Amino acid sequence: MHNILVKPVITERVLHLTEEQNKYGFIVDKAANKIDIKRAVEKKFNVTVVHVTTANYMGKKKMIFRKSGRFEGKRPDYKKAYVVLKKGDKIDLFETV
Amino acid sequence: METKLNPLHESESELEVTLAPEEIADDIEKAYQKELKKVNVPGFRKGKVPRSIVEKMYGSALQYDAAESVANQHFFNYIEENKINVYDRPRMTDFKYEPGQPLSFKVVFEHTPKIELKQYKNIEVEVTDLKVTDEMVDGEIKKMLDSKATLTEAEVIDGDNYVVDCELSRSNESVHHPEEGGNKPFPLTVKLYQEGVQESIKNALAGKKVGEDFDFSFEDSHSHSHEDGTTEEHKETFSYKGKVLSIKKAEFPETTDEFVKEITHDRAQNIDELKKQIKDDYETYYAEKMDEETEYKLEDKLIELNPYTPPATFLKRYHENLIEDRAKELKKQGKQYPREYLEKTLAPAAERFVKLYFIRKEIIAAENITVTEEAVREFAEVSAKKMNLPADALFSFYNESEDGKETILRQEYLKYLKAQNTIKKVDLPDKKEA
Repeated sequence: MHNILVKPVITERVLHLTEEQNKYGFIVDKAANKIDIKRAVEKKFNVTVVHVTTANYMGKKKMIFRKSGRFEGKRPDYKKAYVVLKKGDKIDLFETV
Repeated sequence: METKLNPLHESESELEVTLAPEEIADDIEKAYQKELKKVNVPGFRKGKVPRSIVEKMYGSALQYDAAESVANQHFFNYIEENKINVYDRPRMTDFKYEPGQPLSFKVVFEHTPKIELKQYKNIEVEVTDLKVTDEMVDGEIKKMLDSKATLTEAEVIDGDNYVVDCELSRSNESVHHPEEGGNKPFPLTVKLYQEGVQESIKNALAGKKVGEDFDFSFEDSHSHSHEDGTTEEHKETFSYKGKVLSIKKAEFPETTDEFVKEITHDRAQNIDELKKQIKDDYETYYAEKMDEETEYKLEDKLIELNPYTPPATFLKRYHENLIEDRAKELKKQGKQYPREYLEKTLAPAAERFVKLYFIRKEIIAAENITVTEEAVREFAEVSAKKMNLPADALFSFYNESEDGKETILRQEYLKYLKAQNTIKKVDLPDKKEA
């Protein structure tokens, strides 16, 4: 399996969690499990992951209107993972100071 | 802060500013915080995006934006402190900024022209001396008599006191305007006693009866102006054939006191008074005309002797207003001209007005010309006579209205110009020479 970590989640809420709990958010491959995610984060950022939580999200349904009619569609489903790092470890990508 | 003002021409300058980093640090930080509040990043509320995130996303673009608004602020502060009237949106050129380094920029802007008045006194202008002659007065009386003439049917034309209805048609082709050319007959009423009637038509009609044919011709010369400024002289012979449709003999009333009273609605009691009135009216009219010509020529000289480049934006706006007003006026008359034509024809008038506007302001300031209460009263009295309104009402109107005072200020300036310059009256050129 490659590209387990799709992209980091950088939002107000995640930055708050980072500051308070040293917790970071990622969009991950839907097939990845917590162990895969832990290993991927540790390898990529050279940190120690102490805890991983994941959540699957359904892509939003979308509707577009054109002259030729109405089209229904859906954005892709995705999986979000929150990893808690060992105290003192940090990932620069989320650095706010 | 180092500032240097480089004039590009009388109405445009370039401001060069260099600001040390410590001078602008606080301002840039404030502007940066302000810019930060505008940044929109998904996942964050507006103004809540951490600075490090923004810097990672936009690099130092926000710092540049902040520096630019600081530069703008400094420019407008300079304009306000130095009381400069800016006409166009200033253009920033050569903007240099690196975080932690001095900020330098140049701004080019249009402003009220700084005119160095070279000459506005001791100018000599020539004005046509318009004189009232006895012939002109007699001509007016003739017109009055004509309006009260009684017409009686006549059989034959026997002299000049006749009104002839005839039908004319051109018997030769128009050389220069063949498009006009139809030789279609058209009706014409000729008052043989009036001024300006061709001698050839008078001679051709002499002794004619109703139903009789006649023909006549005359030579006309006139000139046409072309767009490139050249003029073309045209000489053309006009030949006509015609038929007399009706003849009426005109009998004019005697210039008795009763006639004078009737025609003037009791403004004059006898022929001498009437003549005097006509002469006075002519003289007033000619005095106004000569005054207008004097003012126009003096102001033309001012433009010629005090050349400068007016602010282009101001000129453009005035020119556009002029075009719009003219187009509206023409539309009311049911006419329509292409915009390009109006632009071209109204451009000289717009330039003249704008150039004079600033020269006038300079002269008024240089000579400290002001509107005094006496001047307002005098202007109100003159206007009251013309408009047949109470002088006091006009006085308070002009005294309170800015536009009114502006008009009087212009009058005072014109009075000053006329007093300081030489107005030479010259006789009207001979018509033949002209």
